[in-house]
Amino acid sequence: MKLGAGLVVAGIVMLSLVLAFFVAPHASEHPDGLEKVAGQQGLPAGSPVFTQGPMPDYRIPGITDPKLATGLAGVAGTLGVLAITFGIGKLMAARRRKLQPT
Amino acid sequence: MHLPDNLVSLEINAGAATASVLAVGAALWRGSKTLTERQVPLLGSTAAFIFAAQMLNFPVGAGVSGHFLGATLAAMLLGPLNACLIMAVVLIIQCLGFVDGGVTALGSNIFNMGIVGGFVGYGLLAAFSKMLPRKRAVFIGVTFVAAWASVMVASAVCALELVFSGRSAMENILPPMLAFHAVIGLGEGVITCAMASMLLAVRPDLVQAWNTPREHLAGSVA
Repeated sequence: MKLGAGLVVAGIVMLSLVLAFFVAPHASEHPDGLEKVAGQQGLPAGSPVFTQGPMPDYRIPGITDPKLATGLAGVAGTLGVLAITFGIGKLMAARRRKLQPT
Repeated sequence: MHLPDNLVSLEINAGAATASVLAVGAALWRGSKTLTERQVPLLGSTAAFIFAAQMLNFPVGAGVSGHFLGATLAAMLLGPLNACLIMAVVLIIQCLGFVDGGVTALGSNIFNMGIVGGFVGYGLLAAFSKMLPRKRAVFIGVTFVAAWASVMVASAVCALELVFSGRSAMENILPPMLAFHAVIGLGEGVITCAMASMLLAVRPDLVQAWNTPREHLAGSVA
């Protein structure tokens, strides 16, 4: 089965949004491997130099339902990363076309 | 495996940040010569997938969780330099948008998860592809090993950064980091293999490491 590249890319984006919205709110809350080892060694959690961010801890502030707050933050981040990398890619491809017109 | 601020020394963070800037610069430079219009949507959607999948912490036992990194997946699809670029964007957004990973540790995080993860994963894919027959099942098996190993090496580098920052002795930090990531890496392998088998089934031309002639693949690691 051969699918169009556009369809495949759209499928990857849809899958990412579904994972971010529906699955991410149910992710494990346990510390990750590094946090656990740092904790066992009595290392400080690391005082953050910069604690401000639009969505600290992957939650949109002001949304009371924590699962919804995380799901929406995940969708926002996924779309943000998509837009930025797509934009950088477009610039690189445009530059290549200028250098080697085909 | 996101390092917070003030855990790794300033010197190590600065060195890793320099390496990361150089790698991302090289990725932009090379991409401006080689990236085709057709690869742009794949670049964007791969980055989006990695961001979303990194949110899915899965339990690995002993009250510990782990999550997908994605550098081997990105390198398999688009080459190691594009993987550095993708991982840098994901980590910068996580840091500035979601306060995940310290701002001063951003260089180390990009170095560990992007550069080390991507080059180790791709290097192993390239080396094994050169030695083994070009069969889908073999490629998918190799992908699993490369993804697992990339997480192991990244976690070892992270542990060494803590050791050389004077945070703890090697014997206290390296073995548990490797032990936890030996399990976390299995998740990396499963997700990377799932994406590899899906894409090889529907659109094998999108998988760069599968298509690149093998002599070229081995030579294009850098």
